[in-house]
Amino acid sequence: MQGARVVQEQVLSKVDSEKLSAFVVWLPFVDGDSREKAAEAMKVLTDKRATHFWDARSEIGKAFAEHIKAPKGQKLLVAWDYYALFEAGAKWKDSPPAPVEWMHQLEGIEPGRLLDGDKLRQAVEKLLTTVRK
Amino acid sequence: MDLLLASMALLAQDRSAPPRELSRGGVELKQAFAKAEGKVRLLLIVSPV
Repeated sequence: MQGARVVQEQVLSKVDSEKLSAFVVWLPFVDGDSREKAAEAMKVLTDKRATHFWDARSEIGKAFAEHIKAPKGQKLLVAWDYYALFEAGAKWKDSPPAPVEWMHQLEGIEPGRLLDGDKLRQAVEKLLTTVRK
Repeated sequence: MDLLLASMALLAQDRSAPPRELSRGGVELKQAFAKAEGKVRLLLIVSPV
């Protein structure tokens, strides 16, 4: 949930563009996670451009796990604490599109991609310059 | 104009409601993602705790 707060405070609240949409997929990962808890957690990310979903089966997390390079000898089954940015022309067909940029808050995964609100905001702003007005 | 605003209000998510439950395959997310084509899209996959 901390990452959602970072995105709200350091990205969404600072990027004033209707050419940006956000999708927040809440999923059960640790004990105590539930749709009701997600409803509470939604309060940290209140941007009107955001749409919230509950992924009870973690299917979206599993689909994006394939984009994350796990440490040697390990396999990441579910992506969570995962933040991905897609260009305006990205299409989601049978499998999700590859993000232009992604960050995470996972241990043992590429440390250069740890969630950094400023860097994510800069990536969003850069991508927005490529979108038609 | 009032009609437009009313339509937008209907489309907006009720912030007091729980998050929308995804059907098998995440169809609702895929549809929302497609509907926002032409925009930069940010996806968060997070745990509520």
